[in-house]
Amino acid sequence: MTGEALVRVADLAVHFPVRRGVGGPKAVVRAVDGVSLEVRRGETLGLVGESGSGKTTLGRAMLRLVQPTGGRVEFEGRDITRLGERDLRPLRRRMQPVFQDPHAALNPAMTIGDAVAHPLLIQGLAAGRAEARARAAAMLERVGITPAGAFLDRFPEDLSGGQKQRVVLARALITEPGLVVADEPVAMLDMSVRALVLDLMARLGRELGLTYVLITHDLATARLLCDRVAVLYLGRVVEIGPAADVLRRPRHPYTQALLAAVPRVAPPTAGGPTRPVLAGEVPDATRIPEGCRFHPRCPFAFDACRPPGGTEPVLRPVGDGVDVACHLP
Amino acid sequence: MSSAHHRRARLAARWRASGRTSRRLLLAGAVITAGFALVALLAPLLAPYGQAAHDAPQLARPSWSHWFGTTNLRFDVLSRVIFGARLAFEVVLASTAFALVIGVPLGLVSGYSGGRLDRALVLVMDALYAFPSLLLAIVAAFALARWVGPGVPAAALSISVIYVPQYFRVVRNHTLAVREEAFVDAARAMGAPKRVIIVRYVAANVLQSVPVIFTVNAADAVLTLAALGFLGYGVPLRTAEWGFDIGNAISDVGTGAWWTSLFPGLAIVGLVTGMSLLGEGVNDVLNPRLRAAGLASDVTIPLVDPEAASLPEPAEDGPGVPEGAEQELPRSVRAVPGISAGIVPDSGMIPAQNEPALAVESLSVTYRSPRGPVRAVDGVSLAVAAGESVGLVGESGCGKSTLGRAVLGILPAVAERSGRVLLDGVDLTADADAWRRARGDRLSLVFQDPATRLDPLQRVESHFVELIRAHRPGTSKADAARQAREVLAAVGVPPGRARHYPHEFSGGMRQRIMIALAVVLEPRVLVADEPTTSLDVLVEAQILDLLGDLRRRLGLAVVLITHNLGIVAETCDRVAVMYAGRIVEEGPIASVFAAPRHPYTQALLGAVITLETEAAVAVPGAPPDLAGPLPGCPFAPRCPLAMGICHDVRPGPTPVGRAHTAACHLYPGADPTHPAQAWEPTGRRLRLTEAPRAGTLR
Repeated sequence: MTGEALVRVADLAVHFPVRRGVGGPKAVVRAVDGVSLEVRRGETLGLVGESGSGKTTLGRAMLRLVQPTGGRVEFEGRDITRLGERDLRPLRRRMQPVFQDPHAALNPAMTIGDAVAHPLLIQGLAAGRAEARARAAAMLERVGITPAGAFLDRFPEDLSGGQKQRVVLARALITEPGLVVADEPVAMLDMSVRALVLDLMARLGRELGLTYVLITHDLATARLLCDRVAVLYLGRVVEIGPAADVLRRPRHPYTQALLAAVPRVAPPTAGGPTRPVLAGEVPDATRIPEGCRFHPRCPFAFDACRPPGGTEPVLRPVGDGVDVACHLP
Repeated sequence: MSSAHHRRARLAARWRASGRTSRRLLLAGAVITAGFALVALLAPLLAPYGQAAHDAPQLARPSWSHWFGTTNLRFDVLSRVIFGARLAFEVVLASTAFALVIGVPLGLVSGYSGGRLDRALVLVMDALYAFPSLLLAIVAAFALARWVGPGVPAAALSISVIYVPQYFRVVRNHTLAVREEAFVDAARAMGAPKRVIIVRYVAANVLQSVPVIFTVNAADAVLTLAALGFLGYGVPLRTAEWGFDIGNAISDVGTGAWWTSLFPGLAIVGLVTGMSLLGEGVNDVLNPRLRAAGLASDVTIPLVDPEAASLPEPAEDGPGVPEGAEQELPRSVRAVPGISAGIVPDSGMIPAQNEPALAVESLSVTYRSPRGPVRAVDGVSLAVAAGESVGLVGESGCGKSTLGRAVLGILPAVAERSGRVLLDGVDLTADADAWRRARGDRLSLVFQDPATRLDPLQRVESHFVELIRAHRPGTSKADAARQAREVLAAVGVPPGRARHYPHEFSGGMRQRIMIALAVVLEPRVLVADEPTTSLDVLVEAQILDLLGDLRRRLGLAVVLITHNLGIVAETCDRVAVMYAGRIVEEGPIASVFAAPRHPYTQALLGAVITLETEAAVAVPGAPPDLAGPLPGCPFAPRCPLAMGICHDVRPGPTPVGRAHTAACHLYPGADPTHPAQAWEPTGRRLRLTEAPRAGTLR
């Protein structure tokens, strides 16, 4: 079932105009700056990177929650880049978001039952409110909110973080989407609850044949859940390939640094931790370095990477289905 | 149960949670306002004479036939006051209705759509708002009196002109905030049309603040109406209106006729007071956060304790530090009290050998709450030596942050503390002044979110200068600024940026600044509460390395509060696992992570997702309610190995290894073949229960 592209992103750019301070000079944030990739039907694709890498904006552009300024997004073979809201509406039920903060993702003024039933009514998929609520109850049971009857008329503030995230998941899945874009779905949850929610997502993914785009800064979560991962840096993919390969044997210096920085839960070995720490922080997306955008922080940068003369490396296959954008051999 | 039922339950809970004083004020306001409303409603029945009847004797004193006397225009004052209440309510309700009908939709559309329409509307509304409100009302009243003729509609409209911009501004600003919420994105993602989003997702939340503005504005509207009447604008002569009647009575004061102005005046004071109390009360109950801001767990701790600043500080010459030692660090950071010289400067005491820098003894913290006392920290004892780093871990709500605050002595007012906190052997709980002086100086704190802890209006350097001069009054500004640059350089902030403002730094840089602030006065003990949780993994690694570096060089005793077991494993010497306000396991990192003994620690480690994890196992169930009694072991209800004794007898710390204790009835003398002994750090994990108890109500 895996293979065929459900989402195809080509040369995608999302640039935001900003003003630095009151009356200051105008600048452009290049949040997504030339991304091409595809999400294959049935897979879980991880988008990983630091904050400012553009992973969230890329996810929002796939769902057309943000208007791309260049390039193309295709969903189920159809170009949705410039569709109006009216034409998008019938497609929206096939692609749904899950958000990072479960406390902000539910309307405080709406009951749990209405929140989950509302997409059915908006999309005209239920005959009336009664039917929509009955189906919402069934979906709530499915995500582990049991007994659903006791929750339908409750407000979000009565629920714990883990329960809210289940409700958010139920709302996303009620219209039977093919694609679910989950942006840091467990980052705000307690360590002890994370495994439960991730496990639920994986199980539902299998049962409902979902395709996930999982946006996360946590490489361990990506490694556990994803079939493939794309590593983003300053709005570009620097490495993409099967999760097992990319996260076991990273080739791009940035991926290597990210992996090295993950704290390990293991009894310390003699000699203490020796961890290469990458200097500097993600530069300003209004002033992306010329040449390879990673070169100012890269321990291996050489002439081909820096101006003058240095060029931006493009993704090239390096074996095992991995593509890397790096001048290093 | 219906949603209305839950809505009522929520209101009832807020009512119970609100303070007794605010409840009393609200009730008093409601009674007064309701009294006036009743009088207004029944005016024709209550008033002895008509409001327009002017056939009474002129300026008669109060008597049996005219209780409040009569006016020079031969009106009965009592009747005028009663009918005046009716007019006040009519005008207040009508003007508010106008203001709501115009201001709220405009605010919603303007805030949600943004763009040119928004800019134009904001300009118009700001112009109206900037205009003196009474003058605006007079101009409007004057124009409307000509256009629609004098009367209640004209008066109401002219007053509503003042309130339209207010409703607009409040609703628009609230809309701007709500528009960015994830649930609005969710509505867009489900394909909801703009109209539906505005009504069901934005307005439904924004309008919750309208009753509050209404009750606050109503009192103001009564005053504005009176002011208009007093100046002769507003309503026609024969209509009873308090302000107008007072205006007419001005000349009577000279003749000794006090009654014509006193009674309408008292009526205004009474109604305005009643409405104001009601407004304040409603505000308190509906928005408890505003009221509880000072008590909430997220209290902002001033970097400089205002009281500490005024306290005399013994001049500190500092112990002799060998010159040339620790070249990389600034002088201010180099002197390590108790390590390099073996002397604690402030107390003048020589710490006994092996005296921990920080000792917590039988510490308990109880929060008062509407549901009864909540035991957030329950008899915790912990010692941290100089140069040692202890990780404090556990699920949220286990009491680790409360413990950190208790150590600093910055618990909110609703907390009660018992037990002792010792800094170099000196009991701080016995001496509030010593505690205050130590805070920010020998005892310092780094928070999770650096952005909210720095004053956006102050240059970075000024934060340091203020802190240093507060605790070391003799220091000159130039010296303090120099120290600031030195310590900033030591944590990797270019000294050239010392005069920048906090917003000009990235999150990682701001956390470095916070750490520099925490160590500039050479603390003995540093409490770091989730110092890297809001940071990216690469920056996190840098900050943790920095903390470790400072700890080794300065001999800092570090308490690292975090939910991230990986960070503890990599950066701490010892770990204390907290559950339900108690330390359930404590020991050296190597021992606890390799051979955790408490079933809770085992479950917690099993839930961690690492790069090696093949299948993570969540900890089933939820932590217990700390408001109830907790006999026995608090983990027993979730523990797969719980025995009879666990539910009745509270386990005490039992040695389970070298310097390693666990508070669990399985020890000592547990069967070596018992499943709790069979922990393996990788590979097979102890599976607690098969089916998680998901979806149970809190």
